[in-house]
Amino acid sequence: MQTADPTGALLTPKRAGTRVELTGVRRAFEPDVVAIERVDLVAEPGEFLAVLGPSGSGKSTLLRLIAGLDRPTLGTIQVSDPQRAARDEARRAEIAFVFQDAHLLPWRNVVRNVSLPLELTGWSRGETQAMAREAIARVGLSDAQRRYPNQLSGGMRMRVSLARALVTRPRLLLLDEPFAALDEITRQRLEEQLRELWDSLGMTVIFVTHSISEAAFLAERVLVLSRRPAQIVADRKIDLPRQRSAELRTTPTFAQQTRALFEVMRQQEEA
Amino acid sequence: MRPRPLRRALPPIIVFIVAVLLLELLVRALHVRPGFLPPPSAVAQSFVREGAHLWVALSETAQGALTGFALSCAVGIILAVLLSSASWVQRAFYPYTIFFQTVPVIAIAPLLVIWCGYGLPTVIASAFIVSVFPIIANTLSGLLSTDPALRDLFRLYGAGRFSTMMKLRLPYALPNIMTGLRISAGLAVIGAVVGEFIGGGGLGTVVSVAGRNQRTDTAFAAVLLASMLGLAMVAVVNLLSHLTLAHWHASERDQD
Repeated sequence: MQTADPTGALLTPKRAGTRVELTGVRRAFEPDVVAIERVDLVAEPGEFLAVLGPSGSGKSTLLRLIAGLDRPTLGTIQVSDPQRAARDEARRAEIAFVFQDAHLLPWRNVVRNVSLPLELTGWSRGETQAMAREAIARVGLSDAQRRYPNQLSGGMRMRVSLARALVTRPRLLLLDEPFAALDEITRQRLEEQLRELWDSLGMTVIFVTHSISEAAFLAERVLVLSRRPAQIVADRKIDLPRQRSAELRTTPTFAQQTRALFEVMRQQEEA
Repeated sequence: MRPRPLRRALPPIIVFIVAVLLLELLVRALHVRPGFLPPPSAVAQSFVREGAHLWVALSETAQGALTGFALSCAVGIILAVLLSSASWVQRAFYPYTIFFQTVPVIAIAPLLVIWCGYGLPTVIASAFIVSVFPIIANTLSGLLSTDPALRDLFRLYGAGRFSTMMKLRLPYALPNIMTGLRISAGLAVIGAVVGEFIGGGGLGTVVSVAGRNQRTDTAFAAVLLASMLGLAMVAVVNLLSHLTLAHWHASERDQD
């Protein structure tokens, strides 16, 4: 399947996701401040994995470790490619990260914000423009390309942030409570959009959140973290269809899934 | 609604006119000796009488102040970039940059004359010493406050130190740099005039000669010109700041 775009070669829709494996990972900041304790975790290629935990657990630390922005005190982290990238794809950044807030460069307009990762990884200007435009179109912001971040709403800024993450066509997308600061309607819309993007692009997604319904709606599988020091206390497959629309949120099956997760979190609180 | 430029400028203009008239009346009514405090009309006359002479002095002072200020900008920003490169560099050297802030320039001006010679070089050195520290301090604080998430983002995409500095940290520090420039622009003129007191030339010399001859009207005219030079330099910095920041930074948006 190719898009109609003349630069179609850059835009092949699917890229296989990476496999992520953590074995016995521990991260201690000082001898007695342990953020993460013996975490074993596997995300299969192309899987949408949610990590659910109370605020202040080591969720963000976990993502930073996977992204390679931080090193574990103990244990190993492997982010590997099942099909080693073709030579012309080697320049593409394999991992993208979306933060809690959009964190855009306020002095750059939308296109220039989205093309930043390409610039930093050495793409030529002509290529970055087309790829940035394509990523912006994917998040539905084509009309706002020339606007500056301070002229955008919170939801639009987050979509720019998503486009910036997707522009390198990463094989692994890490998101750290990206929608937590948004209002409910905007948030739900972005969740649906993210789900569609994952479905069409095929990367592995690890999504950290403290919202049970968000985890249930988005993910194929949910890992529940304990309070600090964080350990994985539950690993639950979400039994919902692959196509998830807004209506799903009000169905009894969805309620069942969130309820089950809720019980696990509850037990964890009481334990 | 945005007030029109004229309406914005009107209140200070009215204050100025009223103050000048009041001063004129008071000086005349109280029969103050002109050598002690000249009436504004006498100052205005000396502008006319010594216009050519004052103009030359003003351009000399402007040259010294602008050159000193330009040096401060270049050296200040480069020093701040170097200081921000590592925390040990900062710990080791930052205390010595405060020297520029604390050194009484009037006291070392005679030394500057010995080192730099009479005239312009001393004036430039004096303007530089007085105006460099605010640029170092403000730029440094801007460079050190870069959003950690954005630094992570740059690391994630393997950006080197140079491109992180050019594409992230310096633009991020721009509002702080502008604050530093705004403070330093006015200080550079003060530094230049002080340098001229000792090193000779420009409005500084006009003021000191007029003072010795009890020509307070000329001294006032020169002082007014010096402060207008400072105002003009600050205005240019403000314009620059508006042009570079208006589209993205809160400090430059209309406050209506």
